[in-house]
Amino acid sequence: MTHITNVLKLTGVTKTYHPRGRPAVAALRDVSLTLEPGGFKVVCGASGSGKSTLLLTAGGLLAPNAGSVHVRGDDIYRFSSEARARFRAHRIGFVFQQFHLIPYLNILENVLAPTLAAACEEAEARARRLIDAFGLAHRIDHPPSELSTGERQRVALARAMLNEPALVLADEPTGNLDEDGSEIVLQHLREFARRGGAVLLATHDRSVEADERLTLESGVLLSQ
Amino acid sequence: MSARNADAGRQGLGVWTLVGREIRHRKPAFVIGLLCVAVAIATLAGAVTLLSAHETRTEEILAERERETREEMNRLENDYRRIMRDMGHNVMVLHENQSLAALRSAGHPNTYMPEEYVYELATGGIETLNHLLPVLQERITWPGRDLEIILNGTPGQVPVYHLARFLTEDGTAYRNPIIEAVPEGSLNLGHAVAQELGLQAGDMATLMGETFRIHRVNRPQGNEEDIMVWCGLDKAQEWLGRKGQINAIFALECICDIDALGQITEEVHGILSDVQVLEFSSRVIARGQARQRAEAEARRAIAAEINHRQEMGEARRAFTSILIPVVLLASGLWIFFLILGNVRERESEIGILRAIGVTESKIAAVFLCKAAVLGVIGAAIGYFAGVTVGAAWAGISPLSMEFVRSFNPLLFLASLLVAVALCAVSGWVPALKASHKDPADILREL
Repeated sequence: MTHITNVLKLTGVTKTYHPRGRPAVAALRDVSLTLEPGGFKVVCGASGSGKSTLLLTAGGLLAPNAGSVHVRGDDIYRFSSEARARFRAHRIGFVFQQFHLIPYLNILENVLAPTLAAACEEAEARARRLIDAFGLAHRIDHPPSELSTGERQRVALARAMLNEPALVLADEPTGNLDEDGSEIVLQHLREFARRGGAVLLATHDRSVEADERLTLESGVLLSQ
Repeated sequence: MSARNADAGRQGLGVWTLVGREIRHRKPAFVIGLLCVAVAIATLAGAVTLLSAHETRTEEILAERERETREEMNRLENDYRRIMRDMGHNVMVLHENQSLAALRSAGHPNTYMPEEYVYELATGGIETLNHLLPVLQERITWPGRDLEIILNGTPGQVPVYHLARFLTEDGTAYRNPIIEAVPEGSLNLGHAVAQELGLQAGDMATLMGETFRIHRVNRPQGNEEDIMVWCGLDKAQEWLGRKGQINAIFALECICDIDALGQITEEVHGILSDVQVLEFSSRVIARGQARQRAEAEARRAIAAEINHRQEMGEARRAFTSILIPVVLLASGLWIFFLILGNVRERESEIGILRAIGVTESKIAAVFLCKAAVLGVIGAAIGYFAGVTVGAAWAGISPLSMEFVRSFNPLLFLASLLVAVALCAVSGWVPALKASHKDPADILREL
């Protein structure tokens, strides 16, 4: 992994939703944030505080109304939609509370899903190593429906890491897990950060340990 | 590694693998889609097969009818020819000055014309007359027996040279003459003459001081023929002092052109200007005309059959020209809604695929590839079902070679193209809709 100063840099990001027939909702207000390689930051906040919007914006899925988002030095919203998708495939991994595994693919195929966007050499071997590392080797042929919630989240985590991204954005990854399951997932994320990756984790759980804990309140990011 | 894992490949997951897995996962919906495409293609292939079989059958039926008619006409023609020949000559060419009243009262012509006339007719290219028989007839008394006879001198039938089909190979005589020449030194006797003289075939008789062998005695005819004595023309000319003359040419009206007497007269007059033509056997003419009417009726029946089958074919074509677009449109709409439903069902999948970097065009490709699979498999099923039903409807046995021939590779290819195009067009909007879905919206809503 190339050593650079910032993996993620948000500068003055503002995002306002304009629901039809209802007043505008400011989800992010002048948010600035940096995340270095090896960084593990947690954004806490109540439901509707703008955590998901922050991660989607940081991940290149939701263009801000104002401000910029740089990932490894690239202003990702200057890219076309297709170029941004390709960039995401190589640089960013996502983990969601609902896992979003593809129901008709088995575990190995779900982990390999990012190769639909960017095929790479030895993808299968790498997927197998990740599955093994996440303790799911015995489930490799199983469909997601046969896995526990903790196992499903580990599969989602393995999928996010397949292409060795620089940044993992995790939206409430432990929201549906018990304590043990949550701890396993967080351990893997910390391990990823220790190996030089950057993690931005959104959660309402204030007990999650991190390098830095931030709070999002009504779209405003506050440092704790 | 299991076979299932091997499919994933070293490079990763491909669109086709994703499509295949998804089809397996949602079998009922895929089967419904297949059914829809198959019905559309079966309608198309079935209609084409039915129409094609109808045309083939029409051609076969018409060929069969034509053959039957031809055979029937040949049979009638042979019958007619035989009847004509059996009935004897039916046309008489006489000198133009011959009085018909005198002909009736004497029982034979009494105006003479040159013997060459018959050869002029035979070599003049006449088409309407055949079996030309020049005669010199005169009523005389059999010397020494006080028996009135009609002496009938003839050289036998003179071949009409260009009607070669009736002649022997060397073209010098008829294959089936109506009247054979009287052999030299012989006489043929009418029935009454033979009876009066007590003669029969093989007996010897003396006429005009010469002895002849009786070659044949004819059966009773009930007319002047019963008192006729046939001899060679040269003998008759010698005895009657009519060297180089005849007084009638008998002929058979040619069956190839049974028509008004006027046509024969016109043609004869084109060759011999000072003769008249009499037609004296209306039964033969009636038979010939009946044959013509039968042929015309047969032709009309074939034409009616053609017309009927054409009308039936047109009706089927008109029906299918409405049915096919309606079925294709209905199937297209069905496929459209199925794929749209599939897109809605897979929103979460689309959202996550977009999040992990799958491009819009690849998302569209996933749905279009599925539509293509639907099209190809549906086309294959529909084609075989359609051809089978179409052939069965057309009355083609599934065990026959004709059934095997109903499977047309070009039609199969066309079915494939139509099905894939149908699915592509129907799946295009849902696929674009899927690819344009905002992943952020999906992921926030889930």
